[in-house]
Amino acid sequence: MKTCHFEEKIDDLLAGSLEAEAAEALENHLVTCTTCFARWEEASAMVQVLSQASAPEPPPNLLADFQSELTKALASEDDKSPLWPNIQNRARSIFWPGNTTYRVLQAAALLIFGVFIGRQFLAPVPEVVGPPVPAALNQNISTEEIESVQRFFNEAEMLIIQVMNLSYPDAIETEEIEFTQSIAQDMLVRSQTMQEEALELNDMAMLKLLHRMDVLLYEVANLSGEDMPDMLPFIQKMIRDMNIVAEIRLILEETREAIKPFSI
Amino acid sequence: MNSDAEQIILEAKAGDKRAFNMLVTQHQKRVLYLAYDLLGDWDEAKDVAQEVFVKAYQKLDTFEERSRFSTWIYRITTNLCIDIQRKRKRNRTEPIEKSGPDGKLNLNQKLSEPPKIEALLENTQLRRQLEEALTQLSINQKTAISLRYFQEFSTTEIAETMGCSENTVRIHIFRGIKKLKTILGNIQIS
Repeated sequence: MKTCHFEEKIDDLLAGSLEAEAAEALENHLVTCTTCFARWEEASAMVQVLSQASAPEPPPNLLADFQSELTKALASEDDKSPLWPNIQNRARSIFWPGNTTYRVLQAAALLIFGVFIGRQFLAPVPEVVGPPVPAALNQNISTEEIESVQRFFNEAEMLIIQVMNLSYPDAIETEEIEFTQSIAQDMLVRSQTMQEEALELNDMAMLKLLHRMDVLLYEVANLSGEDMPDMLPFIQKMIRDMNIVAEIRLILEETREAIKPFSI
Repeated sequence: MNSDAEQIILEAKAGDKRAFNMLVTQHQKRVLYLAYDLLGDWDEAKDVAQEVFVKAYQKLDTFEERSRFSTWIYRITTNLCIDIQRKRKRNRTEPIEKSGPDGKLNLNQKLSEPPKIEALLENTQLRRQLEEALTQLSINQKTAISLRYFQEFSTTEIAETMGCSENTVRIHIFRGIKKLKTILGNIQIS
């Protein structure tokens, strides 16, 4: 079993015998250390009380009522569904008709189209001598895609600066928090797309950075007003500990290099 | 996930009603108790549980097998309960104060008269008292504490269910317990 040298202080924390500064430091450590948290749970009287308080027995007919109501609700769902199979069948009949001749024609057309596209866009590009393409962006990706990565990380940097400047309760009064949350929510969605692209390109460094960004974006997107006094300092500390800004700036530097016009 | 469970889910996804009913049977009790733990009312818990399984039925095709079905269904339950709690908080204008003949505890009195654990454990109202005290916490704190100590979820499971990091879960639990101690007073375990 893992041990932590802070563990022995937990009893003092629970007994209230630590000085305020030491108690605060230990509390901050506790929520990030699984060993100390487990030890604290074991020793906390309130946790013991909660663990012993089992739920009261449900009313006798509750389960039977639930089952009969659910059966009715699911049956009414089935009544609604005939439309969906119809749509599916119709779509299937357009894209996958039963007629074999038609299928063969469709496959041939698709093949010709594929060859055409291949000749247009995948023709060998004459080698140009320019600056080395950075490691994180060393794939055959277009300038537009690099610009989209650049936009994402520019916004990420701005969001982080904004979160670092948030303070409670001003952020709630000025509705700044809602604005920040909406940006974080939007970025979470875009991050998913970027992760898929990074996976396709096998860019593990980018994928790892996006995963770390996600943790941060989740926290910001779910920051509620009532938890803000506790959560905001935690998120700000997390940003400092993650040292994520340095990584973002590095990526931004790389993107700028990658789309910089070659000098003659 | 074991192969039997996977097979049932695949069959349910393919439209097999019998398989879906098996999933309901497997999870109904846990969903009901989870909803009760988060809402403190069996009738509401029953309605939520029904909504959970109807939603699961409608969205089963979006369920990805890489996550556990139980985690998915508990996440739906938790989200629905959080929505209900938010609505309740918005509608509540006065602080909860219950005491007297119904046997419920006056939380304001509790601050000055901390109960002893022996008395609390003998008291059949322990759970009710805790539920009352839990309503004073933030929704996230209450959810994390209920999942951890009433439902015995691990921190990882709570993080998956609530869609946040494990550190955040620990913060919610730690701050929530601290607040509960202030509300209920210094309980001593013998």
